Amino acid sequence: MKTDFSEAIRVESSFSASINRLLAKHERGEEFGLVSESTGFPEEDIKQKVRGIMQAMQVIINMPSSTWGTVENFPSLATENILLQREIEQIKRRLAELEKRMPKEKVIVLREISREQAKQEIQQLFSSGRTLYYSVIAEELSLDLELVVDICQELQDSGEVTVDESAL
Amino acid sequence: MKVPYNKIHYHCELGDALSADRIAVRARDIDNPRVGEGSHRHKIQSTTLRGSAFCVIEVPLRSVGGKAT
Repeated sequence: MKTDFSEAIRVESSFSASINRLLAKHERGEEFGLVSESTGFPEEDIKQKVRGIMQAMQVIINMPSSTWGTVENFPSLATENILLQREIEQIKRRLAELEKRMPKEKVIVLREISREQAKQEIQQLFSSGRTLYYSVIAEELSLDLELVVDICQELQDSGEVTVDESAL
Repeated sequence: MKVPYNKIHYHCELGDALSADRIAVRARDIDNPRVGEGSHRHKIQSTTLRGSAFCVIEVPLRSVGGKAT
């Protein structure tokens, strides 16, 4: 289906001409239907508004013919637009997938505490009854992995903690 | 199960290897994981740790007397 803009152009031209006539009349000092004092709009305001409309009309009228020539291509442009939108959607989806795959860095500042304090904190963590891995303890307490492993070994030797066979 | 960690279990020689289901690692720098295809079409990833690297085979531990989750 092709859109016929020729009618619209004719309408715009006649509208533009009528505004021109009205302005011309007004400049000659004639009233053009609106009595400036009785409408409540100052004369200057009306003139300014009409000029604004005229400028907008001029922009439309002065559009290069090549622009109106593309009217014929509107269906193909609409199809292209739909295809581009689909492509953008695909790119958005792929970007979201890539963002999901990207490793999320989590910064943990390792605390420098005494071995005794670290041992107490690990004992406290085990007192919750949870099964814990070295890495989990190190992450939760922000401690160095090697220190955690060493203390856990000590706790195993003293019989305070044991390997959870059910979790193996 | 034999306790897997002790000072004597430290492996510091070039070419020493660890093999387990779950290994905790720590290093100054960890390369981006390289994704490849392992056996049976399983995805396998590899990386390299650089600087003060420390790896340990993970052991699930629980408090004696505490309930295991």
